[in-house]
Amino acid sequence: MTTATWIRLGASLIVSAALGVYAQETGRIGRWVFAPEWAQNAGMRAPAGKELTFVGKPRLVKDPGPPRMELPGRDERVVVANAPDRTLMPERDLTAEAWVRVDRVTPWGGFIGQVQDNGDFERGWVLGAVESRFAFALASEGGKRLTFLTAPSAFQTNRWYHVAGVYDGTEMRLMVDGAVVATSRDQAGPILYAPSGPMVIGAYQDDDEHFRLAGALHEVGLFRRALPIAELQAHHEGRKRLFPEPSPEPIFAKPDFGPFVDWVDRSTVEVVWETSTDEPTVLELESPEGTRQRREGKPGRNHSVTLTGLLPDREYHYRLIFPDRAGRPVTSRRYLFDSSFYYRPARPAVSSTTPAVSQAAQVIQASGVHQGYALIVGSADADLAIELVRQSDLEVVLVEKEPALIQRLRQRLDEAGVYGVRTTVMHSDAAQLPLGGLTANLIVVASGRPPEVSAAEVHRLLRPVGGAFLAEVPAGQSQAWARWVEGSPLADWSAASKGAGDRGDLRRWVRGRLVGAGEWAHQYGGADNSSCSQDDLIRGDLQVAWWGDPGPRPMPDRGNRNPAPLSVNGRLMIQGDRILFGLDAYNGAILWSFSCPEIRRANVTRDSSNMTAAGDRLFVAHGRHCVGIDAQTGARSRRYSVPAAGEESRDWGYVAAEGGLLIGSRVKPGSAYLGDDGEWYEEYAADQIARVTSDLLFAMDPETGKPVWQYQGGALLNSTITLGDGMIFFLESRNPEAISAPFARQSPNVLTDQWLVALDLKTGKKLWQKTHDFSALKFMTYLVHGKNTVVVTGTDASKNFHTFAFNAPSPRGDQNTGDDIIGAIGGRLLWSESHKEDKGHHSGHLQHPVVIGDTYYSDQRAFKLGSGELVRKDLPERRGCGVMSAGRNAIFFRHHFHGMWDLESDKRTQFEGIRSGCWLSMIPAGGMLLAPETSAGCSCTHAIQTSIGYIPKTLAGR
Amino acid sequence: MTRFRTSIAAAAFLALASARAADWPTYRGDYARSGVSTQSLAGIPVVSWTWQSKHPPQPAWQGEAKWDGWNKVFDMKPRQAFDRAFHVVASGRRAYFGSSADDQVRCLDTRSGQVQWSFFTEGPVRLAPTLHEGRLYFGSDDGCVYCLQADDGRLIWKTRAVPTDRRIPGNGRIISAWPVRTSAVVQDGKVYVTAGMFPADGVHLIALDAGTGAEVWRQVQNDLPAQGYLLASRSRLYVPAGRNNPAVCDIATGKRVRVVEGAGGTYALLTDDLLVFGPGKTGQLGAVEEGSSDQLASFQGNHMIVTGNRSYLHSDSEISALDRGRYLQLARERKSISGQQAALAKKVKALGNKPGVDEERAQLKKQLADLGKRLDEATQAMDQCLLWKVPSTWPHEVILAGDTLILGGSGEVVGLPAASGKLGWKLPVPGIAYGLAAADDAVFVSTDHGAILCLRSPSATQPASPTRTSDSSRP
Repeated sequence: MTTATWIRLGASLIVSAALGVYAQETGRIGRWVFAPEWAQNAGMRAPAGKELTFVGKPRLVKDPGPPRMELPGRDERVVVANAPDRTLMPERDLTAEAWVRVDRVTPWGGFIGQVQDNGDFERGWVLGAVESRFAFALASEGGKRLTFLTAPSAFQTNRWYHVAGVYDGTEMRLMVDGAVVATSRDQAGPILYAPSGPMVIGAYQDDDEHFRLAGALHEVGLFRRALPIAELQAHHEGRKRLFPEPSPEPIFAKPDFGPFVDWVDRSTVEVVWETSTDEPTVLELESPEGTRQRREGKPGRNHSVTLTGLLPDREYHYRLIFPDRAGRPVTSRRYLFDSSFYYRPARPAVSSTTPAVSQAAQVIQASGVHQGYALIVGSADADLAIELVRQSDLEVVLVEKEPALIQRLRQRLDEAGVYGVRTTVMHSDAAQLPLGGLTANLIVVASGRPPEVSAAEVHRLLRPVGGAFLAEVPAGQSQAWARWVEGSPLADWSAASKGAGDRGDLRRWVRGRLVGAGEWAHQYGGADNSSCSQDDLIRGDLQVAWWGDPGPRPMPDRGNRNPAPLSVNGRLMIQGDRILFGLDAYNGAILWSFSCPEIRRANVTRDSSNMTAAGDRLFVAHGRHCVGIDAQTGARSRRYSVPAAGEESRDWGYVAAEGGLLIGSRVKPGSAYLGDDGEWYEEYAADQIARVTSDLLFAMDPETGKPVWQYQGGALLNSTITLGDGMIFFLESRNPEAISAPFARQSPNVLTDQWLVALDLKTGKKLWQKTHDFSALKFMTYLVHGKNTVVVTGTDASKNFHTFAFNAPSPRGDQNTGDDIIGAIGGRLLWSESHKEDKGHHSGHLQHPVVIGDTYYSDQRAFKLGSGELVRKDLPERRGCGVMSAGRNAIFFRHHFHGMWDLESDKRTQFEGIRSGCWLSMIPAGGMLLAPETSAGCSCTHAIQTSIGYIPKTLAGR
Repeated sequence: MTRFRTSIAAAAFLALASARAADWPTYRGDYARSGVSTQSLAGIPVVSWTWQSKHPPQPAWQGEAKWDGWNKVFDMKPRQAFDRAFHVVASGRRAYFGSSADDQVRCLDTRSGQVQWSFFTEGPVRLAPTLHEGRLYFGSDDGCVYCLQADDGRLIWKTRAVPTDRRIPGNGRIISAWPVRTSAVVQDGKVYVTAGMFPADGVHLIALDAGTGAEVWRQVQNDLPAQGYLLASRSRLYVPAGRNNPAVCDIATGKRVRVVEGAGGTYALLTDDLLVFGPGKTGQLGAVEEGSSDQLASFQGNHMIVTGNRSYLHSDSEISALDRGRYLQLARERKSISGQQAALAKKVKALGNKPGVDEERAQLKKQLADLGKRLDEATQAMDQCLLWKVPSTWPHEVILAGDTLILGGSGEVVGLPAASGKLGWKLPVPGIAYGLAAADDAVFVSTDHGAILCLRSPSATQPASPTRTSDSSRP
């Protein structure tokens, strides 16, 4: 349609209004045409009906047509009346119509309405949408509650529709583009209204919910009359030519690897990515102010652009333009980079005295410690501290007892520009230092003499798994030092290096792993999906050990069912919203972070996590690759690629590291949920419960990247892949339709003919398989392993849990049971159980089970794993979303706040003021309870949003 | 026009924490955090001097999430914003501030910007100190409360707020597990402070003897943290709770009276018998009356200034002046009508479909409809309380100095005549102006770059406007 046509249309509307044509229509209450010519102040006039008030800044657009109000789905909406106004409220007969375009699906949508749906208090009416279906809801005196009419099929986003809701006192009708798509006779008589509440356009708003329309409105009409079908068909027919067909969705390309954004310094980043051809590529950068710059890279597959002069705390956007495999230029999505996510400490420019320069270098080299917290005990000058902070990222605390010396040290450190931001001088004359246990990465005694604090105290303070104690031991002091370490764990310390010049030899002791400490290496603790870390140390009373970044800003919304954090070898790995973090698990120091806009996964309830950790390495699935990341430095040191599927592209799906193997699965591209529209994946809706499936399972050698074995069978449900006792288990659908489906996300209705399969982990050979009717598991399907048992569980559409336990004896054992199984060694149904979900709110029906020893915890019940005998059914209710995690002696969950259930004492504890996310986000590992910030976006007023580590008081020792 | 009723409390606030008319002895001038000074700058001010920290402020919290995905709320407001600049207090020729970057409290000569003295602590000092009768009171993340002689920085007393001394990593530093994250209020010989972050470890509300630091009373709360600037009246202490809503406590005992309802935040203002606080999730200030927990009214804005019968509402995009008395009267009327509506609606609901009560049901519905009409009328009348409204691109801070509203923006501060709201003057500053204070015929601007600027009338300013640094200005 041409601009001239639109001008004529707009003019005709104005003329019509001037003549009062619309106002005179029988029963018309309002006709609101959204075009710039109707704008006035912070609202608009109307051809007929009440003037409107804008909230936020909805944009009235004329060209290119149709004239419309663009609503970004943020705060923008239009208020017809703030409170009930009888002149706007049809008593009985009603018609509401809208020309609307929805750009983004929301749980609830409103085009126009005056509605309250608050628990069992249901009043008013609304024309809008329920998720991706148009809807018309109304409550009458005859029906009392709202009847929601919904269209039988989903609307198309970015497309214009004419939608109308009609009520004549006996029947409700929903019409889309002139066709009746739903009717109901559940309502009768006058409309029931709430005594308060606004009438709004462009939002679904009641006292409990407020969803803004993301899309556009061309016109909204309201009548005190039930318009006949023919009249509404005429409305549609008469105008439909004005609305263009939607343009095809833009197709964005991803580079083959990356992009990764690596910090160089506070104002500089390097963006690196790889392409699959040798052509040059371009990075287009948009500054926060909107200016653009174009940076062209050199020909080749590896690309790198350094961006300088970045301002702190700003949002930069960029896109990549590069050739596809055929050499045609393609464009990436518009990526976001937030420059507030810089976590490295400030470094002083000045250096200190020469001896201190070499002394600090020697300490850093001998300890291997570069980051975290260092303690210097007994130091006459500040030079070593100044040099340590200059040569490393350490925060340094000097401990002294003489006030005059303390003042001198502070002034010296302040002059060097490091007091506060990098160093502190702490006054302490006590034998026990006022520091929490397991905190220090490095403790240095530089005076040559044994300190007043004991070796036991130094041991208490040192962080496990690498915390280092270093002391200069001059020859004349060796006896004194021997007495100092005697009887302590430090007694087996060793020489680290010879002293330079007149300095004594450097001796070193490095703390190892805590005995009884567990690890959280996979989404659900172990690869057995038990949600138990096997940590034996977390028990009793806990206290805060550390808190700090990352806060909510870099994290995804709390409700997306995001991948769990991991903790192995004293480190904590956190996946934010397309940003990865490595932290020191014992003190929260951020070791590294980098952002990658193509690393993201959500709804792991129906998929698997995209990361796992083993030893000193983190593995993260990324496109068709899995990135091996040095867990200490964040260096992307290894890369593994998913086995090829002929000419078709594939992504890396499941990832685990177990038994010296890297296990992966192969999925069709674009299968991962991203959660970018704020989805919570809690409802029974096709686009939320569809399972991500794999077409190949494989094992690699993580050192060489060489394939070890591959398994190809049916469509494997990623959420069920489980490793335990030298076996790998999963459910697969052998329905040919599921196997050949072009898209990896599949409805449970398609994933029929399901088999439980067990492979040998080392060889990939099938050990046994068992078919069973798992069709009741509609909402989700989980699989866990423990003690010769695999359990398959999930809920049906009515939120009843159904659980099936099968025997899974160790392949190394000699058990031989079963009938219809290959190899006759496993897959026999041991027990099954069904019950209605106990919790009844906040994802109670999605709870993932926990296995501790031979007890299976599910929902709010505990069963014997081997027999299914119900042990207890009084597990904590767990107010709020989120699932349980456990060590051997305690279960952690959200009960409004961080919550703990000590299994030994049966005591339940809440850590008020701070909450976890809507999936698994509190992990017991390394003797700590680690809870990265995962409440981001919470509308609640929880007082604190921070990452935090808790420690048993018995371990902290203070 | 209805006059706003004056309460005894209002007079009391004016007396609190005020050493001299042109002093600014505590954050935002008084314990009501009014942001109002009687002094004004004549003409267009100039920068008299600038003090520049080696390191910018190190706020404890980085900001809110990018969005609330469920409710589709974007650009959420930070609700723990109290330490983004080095806020200044001043009396006579001395200005004081604490530093979250180098853990010190400094005293500057207000005429030259020269450092008169500095005092080290063992942790970030996140909130401005409080001046009272020649002494300076403040807390630190090191867990201690300090009292210094204001003229020379000599330590008079220091006390650990929570007897246990346990230091742990917190917000990237080794600090006390019970940091002092609220300001000190000094009144009637007592210093009121709090210590503690995590309710599970205990958050302590403490009264100390102002002369000795000895404990007078202590209350431990196990549900809320304490972060932000305390507010006080003669009988009440208002304790901000980070992202949550402030708690109201009896100042004589520290016992909690209530936690008010709202959308949370550390900004708060006490005016007559109203507690106004926010900014909630979306930049909204809620007003709660004394004796009540629920909100009387809410305003789209970040800050509010109240003087007599006029209030100024400061949002991200505009500043407006309201006939406050009339507005509050209507807000109370609207609240009362809403209450009546709810009660009637409950009655209607209780009647349900019972037979034989048609007349009663009809009567109740008619009453409901009448109330709806009154509610609309009240709402429309509230819209008419607006005296003026002008666009603003300076959303970060506002104070009223004499008859001039001074607003902090990004890279600049401006002055607007309070009578009209029209732009009076504009000055560039390095960074975002989060802090403003008026004293000694000057306005002190604190920015997120760690700069403190002294603005004075040209006639009162020396020709040069030197920049002092934390290095060069040490005595």
